[in-house]
Amino acid sequence: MIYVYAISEAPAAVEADGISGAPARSLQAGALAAVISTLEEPPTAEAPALLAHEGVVEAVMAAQPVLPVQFGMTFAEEAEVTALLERRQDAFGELLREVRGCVELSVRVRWSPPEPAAAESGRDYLQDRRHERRRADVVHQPLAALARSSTSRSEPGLLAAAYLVPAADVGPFTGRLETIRDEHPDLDFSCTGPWPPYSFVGAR
Amino acid sequence: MTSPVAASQDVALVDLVDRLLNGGVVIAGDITLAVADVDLVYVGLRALISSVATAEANGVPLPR
Repeated sequence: MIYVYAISEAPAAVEADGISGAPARSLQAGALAAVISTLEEPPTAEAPALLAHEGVVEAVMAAQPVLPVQFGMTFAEEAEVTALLERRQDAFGELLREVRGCVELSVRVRWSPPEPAAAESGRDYLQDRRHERRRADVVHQPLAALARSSTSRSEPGLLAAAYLVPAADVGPFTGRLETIRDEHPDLDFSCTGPWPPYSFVGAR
Repeated sequence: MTSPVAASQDVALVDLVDRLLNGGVVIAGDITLAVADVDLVYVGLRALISSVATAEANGVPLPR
């Protein structure tokens, strides 16, 4: 079966071993290319395969814009992949333009949320909710302003956000993040990246 | 968490799993795992962390 790691502009230069040590190679279809391996069986979502998938995507990303494909997509034969790329060439081309030159940065912020039982009235509850939202906003809004695009979800005690940032702006972004962190010692921050733009290439 | 290094590695693993299973381009084809199933993702995450920890405990070099 054919396993697909990523979509890029053709021709894609790939020098990486993929899942189960299978070599990753480029399959051209018009102006696009899929980065693929031939596998004997479907991969399982465990460390070796996940890290191999990520390694291939990052190897392509080092050289050119890339659309990471969700883990676990397989096809019976190359011709199906080629047909898919040709059919969705315009949409994929537009996505590649959107992420060109950018990396994804992940920011997770945790704090101690108010105890649910502590809100004795509806008004208390709404105040807690507003307070929670402000805690997320105080981090998310200034970072989003530095990003080309952003996405976030928050729940009591947690903000999980991703930012699409031009590679040249990673320094200013993390600098701003450090400033925010220093201003809010009650919040626990973690930032990872740069990632391929997984959070900005969803179906459309 | 046993050390800051282990803690930051766990965070990176959570981010990795979150991205690979919930993000990325969804292309037609045979989806070999139910990516929309929260339970499966959670199981995948635990499997990942335990696999990495086990591999490291056994001195197995991890990819990358």
